[in-house]
Amino acid sequence: MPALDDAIAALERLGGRLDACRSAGDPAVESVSDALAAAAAFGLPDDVAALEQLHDDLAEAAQALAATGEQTRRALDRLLALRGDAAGGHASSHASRGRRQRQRRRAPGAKSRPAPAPQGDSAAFRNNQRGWRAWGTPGDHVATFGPKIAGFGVGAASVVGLTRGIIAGLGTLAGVFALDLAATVYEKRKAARRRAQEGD
Amino acid sequence: MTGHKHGAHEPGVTAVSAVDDAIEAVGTLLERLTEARDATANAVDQADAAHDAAAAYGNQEGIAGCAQVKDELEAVGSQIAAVHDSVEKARDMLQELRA
Repeated sequence: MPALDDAIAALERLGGRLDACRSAGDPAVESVSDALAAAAAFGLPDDVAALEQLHDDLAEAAQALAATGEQTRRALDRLLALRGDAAGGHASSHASRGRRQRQRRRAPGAKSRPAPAPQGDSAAFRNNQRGWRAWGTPGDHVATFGPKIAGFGVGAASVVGLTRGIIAGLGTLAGVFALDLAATVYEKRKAARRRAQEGD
Repeated sequence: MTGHKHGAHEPGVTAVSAVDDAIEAVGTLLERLTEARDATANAVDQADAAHDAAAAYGNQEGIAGCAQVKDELEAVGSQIAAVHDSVEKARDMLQELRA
């Protein structure tokens, strides 16, 4: 209920104002005490009487302020309980209230706002980190290109090995042909020599 | 704090300067009390609005709770107004003493 939220916010503001009053009340009472002591030291009986009365009035006012602070806190706890917050947990109620307000402001399904760009020295460091992330870290490059380079190396070695195998095979084949040719030539020469001897 | 800055037992301190400090401190308190009085009036209005909203929803717990809070805040407002008047008179008295 927005009206209840507004009332709670108003009471929180009032609590802050009362705290400020208490903070201002102590110096006021102390300064009147000092003025009273000074008037007594200078022998000013009329002033002393007036300042004593003033001191008592201010002390009474300070007590009344403390009482109003307590009363305001109880009223705030009552409103927080009505809203469903844990009574007495001011810090948590502030946090949950802020969370609810953010949820209310945010349209359904809307993405949360991106974090603002950091500023300063640490910002430079974090922006640098972001730059690394955008471009890729050295580790990323090793992970990406390492297997590719290894694959290329294996592929190149395979090509070299295959080429060497082919060359070796061709060499063997050539050797076989050469031997066969030599044998054929030998056989033909041998046959020719036999025919020549038979002819003689 | 102003009172401690000019201790009454230190040499050279006059009753007039002590009263000046008191006037300044009481004046500050009066300003804070004025803000608190305004904040109380605003809180009473907001509690009243919350009470009306609870009534519109038929929320009995809210109606009773907000009514009680409103009464308490009105009491707080009366106390603060009384303290404000008292401190205002104190300041006037100090100013008369100073004069």
